[in-house]
Amino acid sequence: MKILKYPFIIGFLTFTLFPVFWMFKISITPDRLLYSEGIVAWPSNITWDHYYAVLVEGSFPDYFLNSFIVSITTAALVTIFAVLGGYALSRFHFQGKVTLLIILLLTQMFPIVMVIAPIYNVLTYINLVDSISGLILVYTAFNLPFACFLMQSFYDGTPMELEEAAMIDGCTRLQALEKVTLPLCLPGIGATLGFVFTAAWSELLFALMFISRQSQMTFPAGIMNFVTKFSVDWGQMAAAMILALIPVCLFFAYIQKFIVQGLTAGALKG
Amino acid sequence: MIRAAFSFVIVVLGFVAWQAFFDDKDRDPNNLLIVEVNTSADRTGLLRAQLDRFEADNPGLKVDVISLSWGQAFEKLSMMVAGGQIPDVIEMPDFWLARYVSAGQIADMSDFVANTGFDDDIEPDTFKYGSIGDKIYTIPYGYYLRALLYNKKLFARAGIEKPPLTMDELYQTAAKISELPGVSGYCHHGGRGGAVFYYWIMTTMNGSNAFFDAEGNSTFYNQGAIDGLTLIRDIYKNGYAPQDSLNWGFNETVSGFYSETCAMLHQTPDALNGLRQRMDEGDIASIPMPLGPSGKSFPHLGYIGWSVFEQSPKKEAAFKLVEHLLKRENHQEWATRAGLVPIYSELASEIFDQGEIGAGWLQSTQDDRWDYMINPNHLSDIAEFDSIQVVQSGQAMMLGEKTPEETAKMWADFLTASQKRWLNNHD
Amino acid sequence: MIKSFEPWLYLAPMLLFILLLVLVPLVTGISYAFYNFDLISGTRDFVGFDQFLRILSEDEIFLTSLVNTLFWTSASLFFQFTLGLALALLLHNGFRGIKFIQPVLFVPWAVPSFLIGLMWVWMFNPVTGPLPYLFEWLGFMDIPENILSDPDHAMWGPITANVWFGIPFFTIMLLAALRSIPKEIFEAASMDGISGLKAFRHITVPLIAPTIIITLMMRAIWIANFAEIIIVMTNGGPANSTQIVATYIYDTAYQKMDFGYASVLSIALLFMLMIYGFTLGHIRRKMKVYI
Repeated sequence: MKILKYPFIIGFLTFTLFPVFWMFKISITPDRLLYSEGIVAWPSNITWDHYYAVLVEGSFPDYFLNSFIVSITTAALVTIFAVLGGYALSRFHFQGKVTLLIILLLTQMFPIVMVIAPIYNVLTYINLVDSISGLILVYTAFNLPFACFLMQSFYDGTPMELEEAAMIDGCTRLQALEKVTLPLCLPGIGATLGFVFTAAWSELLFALMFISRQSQMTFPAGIMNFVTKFSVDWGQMAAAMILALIPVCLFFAYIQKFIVQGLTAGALKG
Repeated sequence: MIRAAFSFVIVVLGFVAWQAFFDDKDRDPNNLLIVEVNTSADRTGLLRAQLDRFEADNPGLKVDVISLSWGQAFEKLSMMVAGGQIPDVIEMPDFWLARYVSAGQIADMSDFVANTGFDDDIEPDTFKYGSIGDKIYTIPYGYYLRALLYNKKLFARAGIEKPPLTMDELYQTAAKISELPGVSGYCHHGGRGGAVFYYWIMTTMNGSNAFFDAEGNSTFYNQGAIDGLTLIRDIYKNGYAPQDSLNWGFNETVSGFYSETCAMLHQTPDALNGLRQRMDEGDIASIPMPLGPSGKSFPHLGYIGWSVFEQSPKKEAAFKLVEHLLKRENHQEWATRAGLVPIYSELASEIFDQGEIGAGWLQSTQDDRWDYMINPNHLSDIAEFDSIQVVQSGQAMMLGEKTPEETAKMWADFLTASQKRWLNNHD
Repeated sequence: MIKSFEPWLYLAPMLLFILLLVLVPLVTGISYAFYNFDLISGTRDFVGFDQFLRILSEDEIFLTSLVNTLFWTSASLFFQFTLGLALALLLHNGFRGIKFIQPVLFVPWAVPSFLIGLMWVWMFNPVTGPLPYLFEWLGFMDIPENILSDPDHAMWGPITANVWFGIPFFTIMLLAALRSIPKEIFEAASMDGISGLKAFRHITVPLIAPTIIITLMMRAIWIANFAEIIIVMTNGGPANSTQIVATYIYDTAYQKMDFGYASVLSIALLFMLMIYGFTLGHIRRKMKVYI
């Protein structure tokens, strides 16, 4: 079994990275060669013009900033609320719980296309259409059900006895949650943060439909500007995509340690 | 941790509240709002310059622009309108017009046009194109005319001495070029947006640019229409168009042309901007669309125009803005940049490239053998027909799942039903 | 008495958001199904259940799209899950350089879905991508062609893109679940002689089962609703061979502007997903695990 480990890892890496490499290759290929040298491994002539255009001439730095603000805020908000909500779902049996679970599940099953118009109206009503605040609110609402289920699973895998022990020792439930349970659930929190951040970072449809102003635009919507009626500016699109991957990778590298951290030994004995 | 989380939430809610109460969306509700839908970066710059001139000429009037990107413009605009954000002036493509007019959203410009003077050489049918029934709802800012672009280099390599003039020559040229390795003759537009080619070939083979007879029956029932579909079906089936082109949209056909995957392209002059950047200009040339058996051909003429929204509270100012944008100098600037057939006919020769690149379009406007074909844009379901049904059934036909005869009949049935309904409602 | 509203206190913030921004619009969206709704003019005529009958009696595309949806969802899910699980196990086991490789493996999940579509469109195109030549070399094709134009095989294009996209999701979720298992359990078990494959089957799988169920459920529901990749890659073509219910809904809503009928289709999809969800939920409830 062990012998297969490294070939598998290499296989996964190749599969994952090859398309990204291909996009990178496109991003440094001059327009003229894009098709005539479509399938070579490396273009005969390299250009950094596309990156220059994206970073300097376009508004991409603004788009990235907006995306970052929206994503981080959404991730944090969702995680906070889901930590609380998931806890309730995991630890309590109460009337209406099943109905609630069903409703939460239901929210995931409807195609977003159908709710865009009603949500647009809601946001217009509170003057938050065409604002990143509007996006934050909407993204938070849509990511909450799943994040909640996720935290619930992680709580389910964490013994209740620990909190109960702490509460017997005089903690309130909230304190027990904070001091005892959450540290054990850090992988779950990390996963939730990472997941929601990326979901918000790469979300397109809402951003495209709600945002028109350049000052509030996120980068997926911004990339669509490269697609005009007449042409697709592949080089710049690819450059923008590569640039957009960097913050996400950094974010993941940062929260990696949460996901990697497991239960500390001695918890049961303490 | 709990305290930090709590404070964070408060801060976020504070920011949200601030945007909700104090953000004015960078727009003054007293300004005119113009929405462009065929957006590209440099054109937006040109529009802004023309708007600035308008503001200078009309102190007290200011104009804001919303630029929607083309791919989602239709959806976004409908939502904006449904959400109560009504623009004053809108860039209106021909195939959207009927939908908005039948929903009562577009202002009738007939009086405005009657009271405004346009230059004498304005193309006589301009206002007719922008009308539905007797009312003028949009004024075209230029026409998108189709011609056949071809790659001179590939033609030379295949030993073709002169570009195709008739349908038969089109077929044979496509066949000959496809003998070159890795190259196909015709860049077929099999995906969304390709309907106009089918309409061209069907009407041309029919010998008439009419879509319907007086009773509302579609001309696609005629043998000519079936022959036209058979011709393009054969071109694809025999491999004279790239196998991939079944799915090709606008971008793929253009890139197919400049990557020299295929040698002939049915396009409007605005494609030239992108082509010039990616190809040697010396390789590009154009001719009018091939002639049918009647000795005539009916290249498609599309347009985009300026319309005013019915619900706009500033209609007078909006009409003024439209008039400004269509003034000769502004119009010339605009049409030149986009390669449009201008609405003032004397400008045509100035706008189209002299020489081989623009020859196709120029000749189409001047030579009597070529007459324009306009889509039945008055039908409110034409947009959906164009972009979904024609595409899907066209693909089915190319793949051999349906015959050209069945396909033509299917389209004829739909169009006839739609036309008869329209005639009923408007008599 | 205090006990019975305590959970609601925890749930309150979350429910407020969901109620206002999801549930209310959702109900509105569902209500469209009973109307002949024109977004542009804002008019609506109540038509009751007429549109529902349309789905059952006239709509051939719906049936095709239904079949395609099943294929799309199951194929994508199968490959994503198995490969994601394999990767999670590999990462859990650890290897040299894992700290650098791990973030890289999550990259696909961070790419916006339409860019994934565009990226893979390039890869499958013989003019711009290497895949057709790979297929030729492997013997799948006689000459390098674009599978996206082949109605019999076009669906595999978006499926591949979707699998590429979705593996990291399962990897992260399953890895976090794996990491949450206390090591002591394995130590205790190995003292009883249970290790390796046996330990995997009897300890690991049951303990990560709740996560497996949840991820399978959610991901399947998302995939079924996932129109963007297909729209960008094939737009439902050629000839409806890659048309799934979600893309059909998108076309009906935004190309035909028929929001009423689009809502009916959405409800149909909702109904089927509900059956799927309940089935899985039932299984999950039977597996509540305590340590």
